[in-house]
Amino acid sequence: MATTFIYTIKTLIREKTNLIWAVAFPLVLSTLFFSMFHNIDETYRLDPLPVLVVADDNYQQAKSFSTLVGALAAPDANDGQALLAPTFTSSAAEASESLQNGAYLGYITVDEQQQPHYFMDSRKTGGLDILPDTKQGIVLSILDRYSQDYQMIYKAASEHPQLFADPGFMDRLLDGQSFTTQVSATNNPPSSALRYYYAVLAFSCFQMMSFGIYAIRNLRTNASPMGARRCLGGQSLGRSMIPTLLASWVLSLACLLIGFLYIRFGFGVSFGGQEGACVAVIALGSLVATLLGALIGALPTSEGAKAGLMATLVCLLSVFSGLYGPGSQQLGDMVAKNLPALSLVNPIRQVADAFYSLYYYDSLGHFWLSLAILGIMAAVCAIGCLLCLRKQRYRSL
Amino acid sequence: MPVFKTAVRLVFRHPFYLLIYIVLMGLLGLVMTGAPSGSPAADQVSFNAAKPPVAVIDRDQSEVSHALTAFLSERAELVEVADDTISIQDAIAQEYATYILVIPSGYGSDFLAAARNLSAAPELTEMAGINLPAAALANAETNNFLNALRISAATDPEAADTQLLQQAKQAAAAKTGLSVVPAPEQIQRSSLLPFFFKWASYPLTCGIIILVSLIFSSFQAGELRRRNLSSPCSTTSMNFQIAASGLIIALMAWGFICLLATIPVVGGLELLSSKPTSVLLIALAALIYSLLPLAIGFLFSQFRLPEVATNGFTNIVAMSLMFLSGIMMGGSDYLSGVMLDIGRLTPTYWYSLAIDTVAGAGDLTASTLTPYFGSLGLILLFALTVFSVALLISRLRVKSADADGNSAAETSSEAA
Repeated sequence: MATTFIYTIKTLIREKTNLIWAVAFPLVLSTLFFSMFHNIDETYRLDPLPVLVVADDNYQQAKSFSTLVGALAAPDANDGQALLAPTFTSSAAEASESLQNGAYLGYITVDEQQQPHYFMDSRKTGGLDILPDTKQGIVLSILDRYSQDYQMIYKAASEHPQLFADPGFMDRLLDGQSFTTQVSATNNPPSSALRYYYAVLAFSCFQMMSFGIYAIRNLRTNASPMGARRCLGGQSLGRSMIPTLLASWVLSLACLLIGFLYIRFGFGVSFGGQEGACVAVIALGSLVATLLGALIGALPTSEGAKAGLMATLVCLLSVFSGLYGPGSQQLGDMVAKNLPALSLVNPIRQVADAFYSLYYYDSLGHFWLSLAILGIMAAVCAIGCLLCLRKQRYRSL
Repeated sequence: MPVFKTAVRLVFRHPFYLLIYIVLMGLLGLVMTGAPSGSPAADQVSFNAAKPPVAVIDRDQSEVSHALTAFLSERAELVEVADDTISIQDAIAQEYATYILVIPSGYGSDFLAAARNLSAAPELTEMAGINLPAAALANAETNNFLNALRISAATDPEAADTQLLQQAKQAAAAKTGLSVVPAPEQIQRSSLLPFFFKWASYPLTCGIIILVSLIFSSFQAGELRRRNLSSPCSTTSMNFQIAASGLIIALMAWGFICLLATIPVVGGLELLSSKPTSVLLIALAALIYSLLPLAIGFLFSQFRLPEVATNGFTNIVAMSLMFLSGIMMGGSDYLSGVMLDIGRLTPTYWYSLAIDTVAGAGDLTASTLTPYFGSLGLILLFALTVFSVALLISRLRVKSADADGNSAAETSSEAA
């Protein structure tokens, strides 16, 4: 069996195209993703919002509003971040002209009643990306809050003037600016980019099916000259198949670990500090892939059909693991939420989910569930492969 | 045309590739076309504010918590999240909810009591997702409502809770004066048709490359090639028929994508809301683009790779083209800096730009059509370059000893 194992490894390594492809795929795609997404999370950072403020006479007289603008432009005591980045102009005409360069969300004027008015740049609205609309919403929310405070205090002062006799009342009234405190929901900070790396690793795992297909082709008597030669060796199916598949799996694992190490240490992609568990996921994922490949390889059909079936499975199942962009991620999450059984039987989704649960969840329950499902899949594939290969009879005299 | 017929028959001998790359990936594009939740650009009179997905976990079930939830539901898209750790973590990580507000038990009465005597108000717990601006917007709305409620309670401490909530609701509805400044050339960005056709570059690239590559390499396989060369069919005619089969594959894939683009009209997705001329120009861009995978398929066939490897490299090429050009993220608008420079080196960037040019143009004038045809010209140049390289490799191969070409002839004459 050891000899079969060693020779299978040698045979698979000599099949250079498959080997290069198995190693290159995770490296190329993760490099691509890194170049695209290493800054993606910064897109969602809340930088100071650039607005123009018309600092005319009305603005100077509206002390409460100018104080508000000054406070929002100053770094926050908690996170050191300002909410607004105001640029002052002397007139509305100047602000309108400055707006044309596209660097500002809009401009704010103050009328004679000390009420602000917002002139929004229509180019900073709409589209598939809701981020500009969100930023405009924040500016409007700030101004709405000012108008709301102004009107309520004005009304209270006219209905209950005695309250304002206390000189500290106004300060106490406007003291509470925030009524919420932020906590982290997940074990590690959420990131848009991570799911792409997890999806590419899961996809790469199942590209290793090609090793399983190739190994079985070299085992089957009527599938290749090598299979025919091995048949003459008189070794039992079990003694032949186990080291063959073991060798395919070991080589798959080695190729995937190169990709994993490249992603983890080359790009510093976080796996929640659970690298050991990640290796277990990759090992089990590649085992399922090898056995699934072996099952496909054992099917009594042409080599072209097997390659096509493998491509179909890998591409289709990867759609639901989120490999093909935000639309594919939304679709996968929607299916997982509404039709969980479909996600459970998707091995690529299970591998991606295992990485995901290691990073985001503070318990390992989901991780073990994914591993258990992958383990069951490996057993089913192994039994299926054995049933296809055992007691096969070939044309003879 | 026996060679042509055989080549076309070969296409249908690979039903998996047809099914997965052209049919299923095309259909997937259709599904995803319905997914983006963009909004129309603001017009001169109104602005539809973004509604971030927000979840409220109400453990209080008081009048205050109900009023706050109702207020948020008007300004955000309320989503259901179960009150357990895994559901909350999933909602945040999968961007299902960008902001989760937890209202603890007893919060309503504690808040009103604190507000009436202006003491420190109890704090709510909020959790933000990846999209920090959206979370900040939802949080600002939460604070606006609670601030209005606090001022109401402080200035009218004798009023009943219901009355205070009513006052707060009215006060929090106060709106600042808003005008939308129209841009000189407003670009319409949220059309579904461009999105679908941009995505379609993936099924077109994968499907055409792999089918063309498999068929072309089938005709170049050793014994088969020798047999064909000895047939009464001239080499020119044979090559012409094989090339024609490649063109037919490209046309079939393009035709199927165009057919899919008409399906949502029945489903009500209003995919064809654009002007007919724009639709035709977008379809033309896709047709021109189809020539590129045709050329790449021809190039791949020269290397005579195993089917699995061809499939793998096809995926790498297609995904690289999609991501580098920004199409996978919605369009070239996504790219900036170095990535934009790299994106410009890909044909898919120019394909995306050509589509955006005609989709965003109000009137199709010479000034609009010039950059459109310029982009198509660049795609053609890309295709021509790849085709030329493939021809060169093919030429070298034909002359090689391996293919029984000039080198083989020289070797045999030397041996003689």
